Amino acid sequence: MAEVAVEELYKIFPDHVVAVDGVSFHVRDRGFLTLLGPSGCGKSTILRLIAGLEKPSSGKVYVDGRLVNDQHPADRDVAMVFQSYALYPHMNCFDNMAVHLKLRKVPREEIQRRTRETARLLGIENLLHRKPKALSGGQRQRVALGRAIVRQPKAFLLDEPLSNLDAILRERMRGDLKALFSAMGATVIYVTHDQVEAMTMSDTIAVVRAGKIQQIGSPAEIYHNPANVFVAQFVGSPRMNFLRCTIESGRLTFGRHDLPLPRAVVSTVGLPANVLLGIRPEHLTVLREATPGALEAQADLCEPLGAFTILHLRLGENAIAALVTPEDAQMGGRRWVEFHGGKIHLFDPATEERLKY
Amino acid sequence: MQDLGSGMLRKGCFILATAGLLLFSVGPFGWEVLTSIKPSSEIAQSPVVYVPSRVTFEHYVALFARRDFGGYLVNSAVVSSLATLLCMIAGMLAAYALAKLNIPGSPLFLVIVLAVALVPPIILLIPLYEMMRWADWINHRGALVLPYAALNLPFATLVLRAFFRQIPQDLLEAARIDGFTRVGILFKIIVPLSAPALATTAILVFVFCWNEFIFALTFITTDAYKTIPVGIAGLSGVTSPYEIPWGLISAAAVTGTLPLIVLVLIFQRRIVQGLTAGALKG
Repeated sequence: MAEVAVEELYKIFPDHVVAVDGVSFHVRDRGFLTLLGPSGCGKSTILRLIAGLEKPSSGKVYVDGRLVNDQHPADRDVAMVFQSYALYPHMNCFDNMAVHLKLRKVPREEIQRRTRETARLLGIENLLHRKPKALSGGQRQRVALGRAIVRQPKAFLLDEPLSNLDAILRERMRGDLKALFSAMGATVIYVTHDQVEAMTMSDTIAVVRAGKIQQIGSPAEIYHNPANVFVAQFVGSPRMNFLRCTIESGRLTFGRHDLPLPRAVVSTVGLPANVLLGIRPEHLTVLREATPGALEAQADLCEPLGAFTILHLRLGENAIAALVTPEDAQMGGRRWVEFHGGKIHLFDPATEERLKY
Repeated sequence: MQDLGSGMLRKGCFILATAGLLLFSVGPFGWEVLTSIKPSSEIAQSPVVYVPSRVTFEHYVALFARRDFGGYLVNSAVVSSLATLLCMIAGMLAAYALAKLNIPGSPLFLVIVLAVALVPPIILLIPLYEMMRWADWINHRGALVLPYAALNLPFATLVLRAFFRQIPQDLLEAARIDGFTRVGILFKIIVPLSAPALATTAILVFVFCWNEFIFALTFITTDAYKTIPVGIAGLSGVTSPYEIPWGLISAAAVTGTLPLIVLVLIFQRRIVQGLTAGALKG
């Protein structure tokens, strides 16, 4: 396996659509980077630029320290798994998996050995003689994965590989893939719009929006210190609550409520008068009795998820959601909401960037 | 009740329409077959004899024994096969480029191809004759092969392009990453997946070449290189200028059509086969 890096990557399509807008990142050897973003944000284009399926308008792509901009996709020694699987319908699974080795004139015995080994690893040995149309979605997915693995590439590029699977299978494959790639010591670049996949599988997440990387960091960093409102909203479910506040005499004020500033804020100097307060539903405690420091609210609606319930509350003029245990979930009536001081995020309402303090 | 009634009515109409169409298209050919196995005396008899009193193969025997009809068959087969092959190879390459390679200017090229397809071939007859004479290709099979291939090229290109466009882009990109060359992708991925389309197109081109008359009549004057349509036309007035040998002509027409029928039957399975199933999800 090897490192993959891109530097100042731009892709502008002939219709002047800027799909990739100055993207740089570095995936270390054996690293697992996820490009996370909504559909149409350019994350797949980044992957295609690395694979060589598109030519960058400018910028550099490095695989294993070598500049590969002018190399044919096959010579870059990266393997790609497509969302649609893209298996060759007229070839059986063995040939689908072995086709790269055959084109590379690898000796026959080695092709046999490697393909069968990979099939065994993926539990599809008994399907090798079948054509793709005789396989289920999950099996096709494994063959597509096998086609990538058998090449022993420098890096794996995966474009939403799980999104065509049903929920149960997707959850299982998520774990399987993570285990598989870590056992192989693979370098992986993974594209998804599913934050759960991104959080569970990767060691680094790059959140992409409109062709730009919004934030790059570990899943914990992305979750705990989102760089802007977009990242804060995109990662985490249910979504983060936002409240428009003003800073008045050292307190965050909204409507008739106010809260102390996060303890980390040493001085309000340099902070704008208006801020956007962000707090995740899981960082709110909902109480049935008036408690000092807790804000009075009205419980509107329950959305039971089983283990947890999303409780929608009216906090003055603001609507917020809190994650509560099913026992605490009851519609109607007054509640008191406690904000976990250390978990409050402050953003600039104009730039939507995280405020530095 | 009403549903049942209208259902039966629809079924009845369908059967009637199918029968009518069948009669319309197969009828003349059936008549020709019957004529070809009738004794000469019954062919022109009035009132019309539909079913011959005895079956005779004298016309077929005459066709091959007295005339070089076997030679015409060979000529037609050689010319049509070569022209079809040439046309399909060029057509596949053009269609691939137009459908999948994103070459700038390809929409304009497409319009030109369409425009060329609309030119009636008869306009080209005199200029082509001059060209063939200049190239010393009169009475040469190439004089038919090349124009046949060229005349069918727009048709083949347009039809194949439509089929190639349906092949998912992902598949071709996967092939590029797997290390196929552009030409490799065409012949190892696109062609196998478009086999039904290729077979259909090839048969249509072949039928055109097989039936073409005016070029074959103009460019070939020696008996040795004549094709079937010209050969059939030459049957009239051989025995006597006042007699049209209907039996002989019918036998020739039947013999000339048979290879096409066999060809279609062979490829029928291919044509119907849906090969792209399973390429993608679902």
